[in-house]
Amino acid sequence: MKIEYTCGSSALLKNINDINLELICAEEDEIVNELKRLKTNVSKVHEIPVNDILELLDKCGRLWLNRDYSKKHIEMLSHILNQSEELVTYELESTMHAILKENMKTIIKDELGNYDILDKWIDTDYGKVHRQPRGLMFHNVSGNAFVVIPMSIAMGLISKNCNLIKVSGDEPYFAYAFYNSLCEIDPTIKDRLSVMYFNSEKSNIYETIVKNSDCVIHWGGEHSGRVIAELCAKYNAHLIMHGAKISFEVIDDTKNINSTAQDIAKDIICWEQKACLSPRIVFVNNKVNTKLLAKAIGEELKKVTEIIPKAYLNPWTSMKIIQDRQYCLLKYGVKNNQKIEIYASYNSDYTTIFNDQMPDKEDIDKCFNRFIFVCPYESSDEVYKYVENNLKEYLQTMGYSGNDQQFIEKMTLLGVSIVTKPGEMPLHRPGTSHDGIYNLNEMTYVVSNQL
Amino acid sequence: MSNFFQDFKDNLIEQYFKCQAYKFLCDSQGFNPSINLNSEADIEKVPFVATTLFKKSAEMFTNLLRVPLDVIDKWTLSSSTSGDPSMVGRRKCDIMKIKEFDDLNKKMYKSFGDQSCVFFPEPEVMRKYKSKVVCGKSTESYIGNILDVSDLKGNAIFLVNPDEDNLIVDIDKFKLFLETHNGLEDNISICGSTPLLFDSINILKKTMKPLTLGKNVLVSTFGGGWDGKKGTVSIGTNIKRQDFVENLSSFLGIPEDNFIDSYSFTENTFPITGHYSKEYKDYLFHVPEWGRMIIRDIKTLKPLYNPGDRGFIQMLNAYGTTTFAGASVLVDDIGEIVSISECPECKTKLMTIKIIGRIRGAEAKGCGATLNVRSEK
Repeated sequence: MKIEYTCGSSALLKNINDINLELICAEEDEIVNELKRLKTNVSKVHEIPVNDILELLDKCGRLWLNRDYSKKHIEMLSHILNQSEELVTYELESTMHAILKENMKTIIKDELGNYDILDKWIDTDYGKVHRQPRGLMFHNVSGNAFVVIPMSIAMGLISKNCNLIKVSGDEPYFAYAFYNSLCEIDPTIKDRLSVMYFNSEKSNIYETIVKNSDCVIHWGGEHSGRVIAELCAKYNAHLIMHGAKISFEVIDDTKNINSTAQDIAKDIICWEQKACLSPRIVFVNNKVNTKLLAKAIGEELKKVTEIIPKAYLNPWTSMKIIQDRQYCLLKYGVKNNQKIEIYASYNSDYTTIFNDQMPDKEDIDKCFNRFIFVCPYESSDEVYKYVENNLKEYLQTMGYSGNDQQFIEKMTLLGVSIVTKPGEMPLHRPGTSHDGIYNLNEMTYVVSNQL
Repeated sequence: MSNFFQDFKDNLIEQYFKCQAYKFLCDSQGFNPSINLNSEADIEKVPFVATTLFKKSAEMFTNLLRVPLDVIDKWTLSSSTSGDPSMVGRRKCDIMKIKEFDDLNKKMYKSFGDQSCVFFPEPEVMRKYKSKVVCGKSTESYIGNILDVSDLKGNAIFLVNPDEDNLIVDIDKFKLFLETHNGLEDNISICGSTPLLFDSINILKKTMKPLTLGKNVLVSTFGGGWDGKKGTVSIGTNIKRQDFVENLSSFLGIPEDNFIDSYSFTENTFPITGHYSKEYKDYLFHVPEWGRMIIRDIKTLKPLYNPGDRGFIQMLNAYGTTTFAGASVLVDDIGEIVSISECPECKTKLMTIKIIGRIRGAEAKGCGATLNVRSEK
């Protein structure tokens, strides 16, 4: 399949899970021209009313919610992501619901305080206040969870910026397909949105882009984040960093073990734990029947796998789980002589590891593709210390069941930026902050008028 | 070695009771070989040990022993393309079992002939290549140990020399060997590392005219490396088996029927040998009667039986694993069943497979962080 982005002329063949993709890559000179083209539209884009932008996003979201329309895209994404069509459909529908008009209105109001502030000057005690776009935005998106793409694009459009999106080589399809659907509804979107791919190893291209951008939003890996951050500092581009993150759940109390287990299973399956908001470890207060909860999570994962199965398009993910499961069993159970029990499928469908001690930091890297540690604690201080010592710089979502407000205060002070109920970790509600910031707020300047 | 099932059962029961790690693994799956292993059909239920558990980095190689550490003779090491070798504790008795298998193999395949030209260092050099002492025992290259017990004649020419971290092929010596035997139909063999041999032939093709070594020459490769990498050696490209055989056959003037390849790995004991098939354009490997192999579905892990089925390879050893938990191992290679009972080409009544190759993958990337603790150290 040939993927022709908005700019580029050299072909790169890529085989992802046995699908051959021909990516049309952009070279530096082509990107420079594209940046120039977008820049000339900055003033024109500023004149577009927010309502028109929300209408466009709403139509696009509804288009994708039509399964006849999204079917072929779901098939393609399922293959590229090595996720079942059922799971991609589930993820896609919640993603597209998020860009519907009512939800976007809530985001604007919650993030910017006033729905009209992007279009008009709003009266204040001192005079008037208004939000202006930063200008040209570069979006460096990751390929692990496609929810990032419509959200980043939607925020870029609503904030009235001109947007250059660089897709990930791991998942180079969805941004292209989403862009095309926006063009189907409104071809003038090309004035303010461009989607492209280039070889990430060509660091000079990143430098050229950042040098010519007013704002950069980075989603993803630590290494690339560091490179981007250095460039932004060098060229004084405003950086919105959504770097690599880790999430977890704390079950301090529960009235119903089975329903909590069901909620945790829902959190685990979404994005096959590859998203920043996916839980990798569940801490459980000893006053809850911890073993019973671990077993119930295993049982719920089994049930949910029947409805939303895993895809096995790549033997590596299957083999890796078998290897990691055995490694953890023997490392903790035999080598470290800890109490460990595994509630798992015979194959790689799911793995729940109950361990009376908390896992070594390095083993958290194994928690992908329905693989989770369940660890009991006596005091919430143990959870705090473990998170502080091992995860502090990566914190994002904490699924929480209980009533300990002091603990929530401590954990959010430590760096947790979103607290949700179990079962709602993948559903960041409209208006919720993301990694401790509001994207629309970051993508715009607050301008004041005292005249 | 007359009753595989009984011998395998005995071996497994011993492993279960002598290796705490394997017992723990079996118990977690509710399997006790003395209770649950009663017939050939039950072999499919036998828990396997993933070969990656033997990796040095897993730090579990001592837990995978069946005997006290002071009893083992050495750590046999894989060639470690990744820089993280497998470490398998062995005693002489296990190594000698490999020799027995080698001798049995000779009854089925051509032997090395009157003189061999070997694409590995001399056995002792290979064994001690990068040797270290770990937990009071020396490490030795597994391939070095195989070379040691192989039937190579005393006049064998070893073409590879270690030079610090690299292995260097003596191309001039190889050229002389080829020229010496050209056109004579001598009973000789060219054997050893696939990438080193393939790379050497590609170098010689630039300056030498094609040769006619004749129908009595055997080309016997072993030690893997079809992905173009083996240990510190990398030729930067995959080697297609058909290309390998056709190139060497036409350049050296050796019939394609004279090409064989052996598949084994450090955590396993019995090698399986494959002969090249012009029809299949691949090596067809026979699983000998002194071992068993199960090809497991990558999704369900259930055993597969039909020609064309591909899956993970599980090797079942009844012999030669008295020191370590190697009775049932799952390797990260993909095999394809050609026939469950008979080689379609030579009609040998044995399970016949093709080796598709190593499973490759990458760590998750994106906004879900990986902590990369090992690289931090």
